[in-house]
Amino acid sequence: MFSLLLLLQGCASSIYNLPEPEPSMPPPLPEATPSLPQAEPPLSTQKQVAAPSKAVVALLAKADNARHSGQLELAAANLERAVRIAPKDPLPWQRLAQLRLEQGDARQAETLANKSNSLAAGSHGIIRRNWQIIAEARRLEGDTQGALRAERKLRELDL
Amino acid sequence: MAKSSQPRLRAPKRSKSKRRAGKRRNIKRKSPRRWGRLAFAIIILGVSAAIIYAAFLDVEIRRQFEGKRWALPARVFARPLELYADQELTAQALEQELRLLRYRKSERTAATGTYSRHGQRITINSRGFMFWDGEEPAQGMRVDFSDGRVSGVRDSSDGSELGLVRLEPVPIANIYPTHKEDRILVQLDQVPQLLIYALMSVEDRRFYDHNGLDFTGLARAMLANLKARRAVQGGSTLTQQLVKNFFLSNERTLRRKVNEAIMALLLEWHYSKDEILQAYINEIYLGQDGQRAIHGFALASQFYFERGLNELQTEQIALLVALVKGPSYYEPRRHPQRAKQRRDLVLDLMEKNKFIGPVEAAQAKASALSVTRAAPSGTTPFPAFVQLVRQQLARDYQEEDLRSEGLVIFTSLDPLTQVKAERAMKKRLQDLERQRGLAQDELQAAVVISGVDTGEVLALIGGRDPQYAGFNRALEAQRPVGSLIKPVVYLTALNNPRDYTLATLLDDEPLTLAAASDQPWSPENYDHEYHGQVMLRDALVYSYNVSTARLGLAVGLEGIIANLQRMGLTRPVEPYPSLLLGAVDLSPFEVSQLYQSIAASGYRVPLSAIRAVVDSEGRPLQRYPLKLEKAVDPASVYLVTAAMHEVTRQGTARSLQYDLPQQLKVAGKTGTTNELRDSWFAGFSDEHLMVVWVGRDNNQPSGLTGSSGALRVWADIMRSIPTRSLNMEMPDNVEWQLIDPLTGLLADDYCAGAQWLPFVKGSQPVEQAPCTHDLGGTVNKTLKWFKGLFN
Repeated sequence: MFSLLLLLQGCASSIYNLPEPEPSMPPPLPEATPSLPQAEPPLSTQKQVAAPSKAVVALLAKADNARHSGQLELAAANLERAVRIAPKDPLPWQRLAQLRLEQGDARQAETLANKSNSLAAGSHGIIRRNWQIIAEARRLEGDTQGALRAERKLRELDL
Repeated sequence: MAKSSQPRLRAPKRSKSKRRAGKRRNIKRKSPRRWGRLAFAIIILGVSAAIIYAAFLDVEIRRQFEGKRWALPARVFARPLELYADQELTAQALEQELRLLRYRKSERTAATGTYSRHGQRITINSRGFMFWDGEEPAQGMRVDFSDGRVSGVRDSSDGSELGLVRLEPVPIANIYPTHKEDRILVQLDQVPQLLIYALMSVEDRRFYDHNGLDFTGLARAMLANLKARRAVQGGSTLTQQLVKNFFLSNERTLRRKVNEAIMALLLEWHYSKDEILQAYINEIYLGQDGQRAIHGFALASQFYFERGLNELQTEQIALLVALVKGPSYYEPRRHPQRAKQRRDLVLDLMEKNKFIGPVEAAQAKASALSVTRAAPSGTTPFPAFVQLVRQQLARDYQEEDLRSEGLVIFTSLDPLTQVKAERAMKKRLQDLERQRGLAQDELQAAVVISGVDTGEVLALIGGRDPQYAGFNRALEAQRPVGSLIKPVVYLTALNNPRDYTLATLLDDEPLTLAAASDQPWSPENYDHEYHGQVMLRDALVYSYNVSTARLGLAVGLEGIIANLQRMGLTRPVEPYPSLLLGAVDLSPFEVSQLYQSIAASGYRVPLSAIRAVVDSEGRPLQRYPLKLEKAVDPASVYLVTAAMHEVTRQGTARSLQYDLPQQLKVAGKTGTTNELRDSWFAGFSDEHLMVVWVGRDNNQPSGLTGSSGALRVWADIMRSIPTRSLNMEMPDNVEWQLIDPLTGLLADDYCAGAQWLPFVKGSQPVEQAPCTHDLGGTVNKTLKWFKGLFN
């Protein structure tokens, strides 16, 4: 087998430009070294959405002002600043989704609302609003079926 | 020929002369008038010529003065540091940022550009800055820290809370005009009055009174120079000097003098004194830095003192004015003696003209030159990152516009992260070389660090000498990625939860594929062993090649390539089986783009280095908005990330268990290629994604695996930057189950070595592992009893 490996390395072509196998450790063998079952999942399974920080709230307010005065890209700039400060806060993502929807960019609106949802576990109000945005975005795209599905999701949420 | 043509010529001449003869008599009689007319005609002609010439000069002057006057370099800035309560930032880091911004540490002053530090409190007098989204005012603020966080940002005068403050961004590069003239433009109202007084005292006392030329001034200057027996004052007005700098060469001819005078008069006729003065202040040549010419007082102030015009002391103002006469002869760093003499002369003249008092003059004359020891470099300290910026700018801007339009480019570079990464990388490469008996400077490295959710590039290292603007390995080196490709293979499999879960058992048994050409393909594991049946997750965690190849072949190369493209790979990839083990050449930057989609839970964000571009007037030209694309299913990404987290707990990157703080969870993957030529690690926390490559430029083996090379660099950098522990949001359709790794079946607390694994809901195994029935297993029972004891 070793000679085959040498052979392979010797005639490394573009196809067989073989990466060296990875250094690896054998998995711990349960029979030989009995160990306790893992106590809990190594990654957290639930998360509470923290209240937005004062800095984020200030930026959302700035963005609102800009939006009301018709400066939509300035509003977006402020929301992105909020995203950079608190990338795991679902609220700035949602506001960005809302803004893109108002600008007629339905695809970005839906993606951003989904992103917001992926961070919003347990925040009923935020999730609800995101599905509204998704429904509106789909309608704007002409995807009536998709919009109906989103609205069904909304009703399920309200139950 | 002359003869033959004579008759024809003569006849008309004769007839004409006849008529003229009569007239001539008349003319003779009126000869004074005739001369008068001739003179008049000549004068008319002369004046017309003069007018035409002057008009020509006039057009030239106005074109130059009103149109774009200067080719201005583009200025590239780092991200501004935001300050707000609860932010993860140490006092030390803030102080470092202030040093990068050339703030002066000073106790008793409220001057802008100064700060003071008392333990965990830093008081800052910021300079303010015009951003693309509005102005950040200059502000006195007090920043308090505790436990590595900002505990408050307050107004330093009344103690009121400031919600969010942005410091100015650190300038990181200039893109110079081809003629290498550099300047910073200022408005007249940004120029300290004292500088204007000093300038007038020395160069043109009657500036506000003359009309471009000043004969009294000339006479006085000559007298003064005679008295002093050397040239202490110039006779040219500021207007003439400006004209000379603006339009004319250095030749000393009468024609030039005349041109200069006419143009000076025209300039004064068209424009106000203030406009002329402002142009002068921006135009004047005040120094040289290699090929770069330093023009204008604002840049000179940075060049000699590393501070803004409005932050200058009296003696510093006097020195800048002293330099007007001869920036090279009086160069203060090379000829401090001459420079000081000339500066003191300027101070004398300022005092004589009553612009400063005798005490102030004496104090100023007693002070040292206070120029910074070395001129701030005109070349960027971060050439690798700037190359990325230029690459991305080239999509939207012409090279010439970048060099001349004075664009202001706001980027995402985090200089604190960049500097820490450079330091850690250098140190680790030296250590690796020493430990492994490699020659010094043998190893090379590339690092790309980006924000997980925003895709912003925060730091980029193109080689072990980051200041060297040469081969940028982060962008240009294309190396086989080895096992870094594996997460994409597993992601593609897990996208189909009915067929594959993390608990699916894979065959890690010999595999030989016949290929159309060449030899048959027989992948091997690193330990040259086969591991029988292994859980899918463990095949990734321990980076088994054979089971991965089998899995990839079963899933299909096309699907894997489609995912690579969805995740942001733009180059074409051939569907060869060796792709499954990473026989594809990518740059560290391309690898970052792939991993970005994983780190950001399946949302692809194009890696970007630019936030916005504004023109020289501060008007926004372009923003680079955040754009997301859903690239892969978030549930599959969650499962793969759980496995990649396990890589860092018990797999090929388990050294992170002691190389990183215990509470800092991360996920990642090692990569090693042929004969240990390339050592890779790509991984992320909640906030930062980092890809590291270590190897040799000549593509010879370095003796380093992904774990022993790149991972060490990665850990050193990750440890040195403030970052949040991995905390992935679990998608709704995912749940965790306790699994027996031997069988891949459901386990319970009686199963030794059982592991928690996430599943897409409905895809988890339904069958119980034998260990769950093993009620008589005394070992497990005892273990359970112990566990109860400690819980």
